[in-house]
Amino acid sequence: MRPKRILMAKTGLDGHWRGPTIVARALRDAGFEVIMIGMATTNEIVAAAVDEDVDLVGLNIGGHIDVALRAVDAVQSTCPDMPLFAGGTIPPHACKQLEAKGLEVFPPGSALTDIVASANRLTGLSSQQ
Amino acid sequence: MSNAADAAAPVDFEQRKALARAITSIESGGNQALTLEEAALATPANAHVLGITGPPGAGKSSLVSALLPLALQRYSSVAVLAVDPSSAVTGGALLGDRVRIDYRHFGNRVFFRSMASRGHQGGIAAATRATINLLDADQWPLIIIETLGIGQVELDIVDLADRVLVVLNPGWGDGFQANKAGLTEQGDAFALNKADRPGLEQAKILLEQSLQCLPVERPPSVFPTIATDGDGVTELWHDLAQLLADSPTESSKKRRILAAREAARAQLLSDFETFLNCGGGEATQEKSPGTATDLLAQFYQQRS
Repeated sequence: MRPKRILMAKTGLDGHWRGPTIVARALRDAGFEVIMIGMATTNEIVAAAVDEDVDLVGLNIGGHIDVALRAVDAVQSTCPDMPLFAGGTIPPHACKQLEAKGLEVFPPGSALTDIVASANRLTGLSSQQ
Repeated sequence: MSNAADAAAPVDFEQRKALARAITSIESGGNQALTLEEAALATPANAHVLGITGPPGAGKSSLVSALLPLALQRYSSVAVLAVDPSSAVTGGALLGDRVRIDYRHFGNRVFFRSMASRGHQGGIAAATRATINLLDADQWPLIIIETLGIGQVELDIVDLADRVLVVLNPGWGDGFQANKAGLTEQGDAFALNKADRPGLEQAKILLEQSLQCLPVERPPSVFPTIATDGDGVTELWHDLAQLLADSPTESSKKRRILAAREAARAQLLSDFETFLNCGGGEATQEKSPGTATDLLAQFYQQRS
């Protein structure tokens, strides 16, 4: 079976790279093809998700939650079946907003194994809940 | 139309999705991939294909980023295929070329696709050739292929591209390195990127001396560049644009021959499976390879 592809993008004006880099590395080691885009606007995230024909979009949420929510809306409207997950220093009220849009959310303290398990589930590699 | 005006034009996502999915099919291989490439090859195509290669970290992606705005002054649109390595252990890959590339203001005029090598040797992916043919048929007038970081001999790009830019750095090697076979024989132009690092003059002289020994009328030029500042990039692009404009369509023919060869190989493998399933597996057991191929030849004769 072909490897599943995941887009990793950073929303908002946030220059913290360690989190998404470590997550990308864990996903790579789990057999995913991880496309790093870095800090990106909503339009750039959508364009990358389309061009790269990814199976999952991962958002590292930095800066204001409204910006992240706009990115989620744009991806979901252009690619209606695209699963998304999010991580980063996300306060509880913002986690709820993301979860309400159907995202799996990984705030600080989340285990890499849980993130990888989520990626497997969201790309259809495993069906366990 | 100016870049700014075009960047404002809405991107046709449905059209791009179709192209992106076709590339996924090609990457996945099998009959669907062959059918797609066959259809692509039946379409008249005229793209210029520029290969960019060199060791890891030399600045290939950063140079693509710096060259893109200049390329868009000459070409109406540009497709970029950027290859990075897959893990031999897990099959996973970290495709990081987009991080370096400021493709962001080009909207419809730039298509960018990251491609993992998926075990293929030679600096590109197995699907790269067919994807070039697909993009060519899709009327992208300039296709830039960025190879993964190569060593001395992973130069498959030479068979696929009209012109190849080799990216090296000051301190890359001494006169012996510059005269070794492989990398310095195959480029049409050379960039010494990160030119603000020590050792530029020596690297340039040694490289130029090596290139002057090539049996060609005009040895490739060497351009010091600092991709992240744009230094030297205009001069480099001027040379590349001229090289592309003068390029014969040889590489397009070569891509077609390689495609035919790939189809023949797939057919042979499928025939061989049939042979094995029709008693060939048992018949060739404990036979020498020579006898086994004779039996295969007999099987072919009986079938025809």
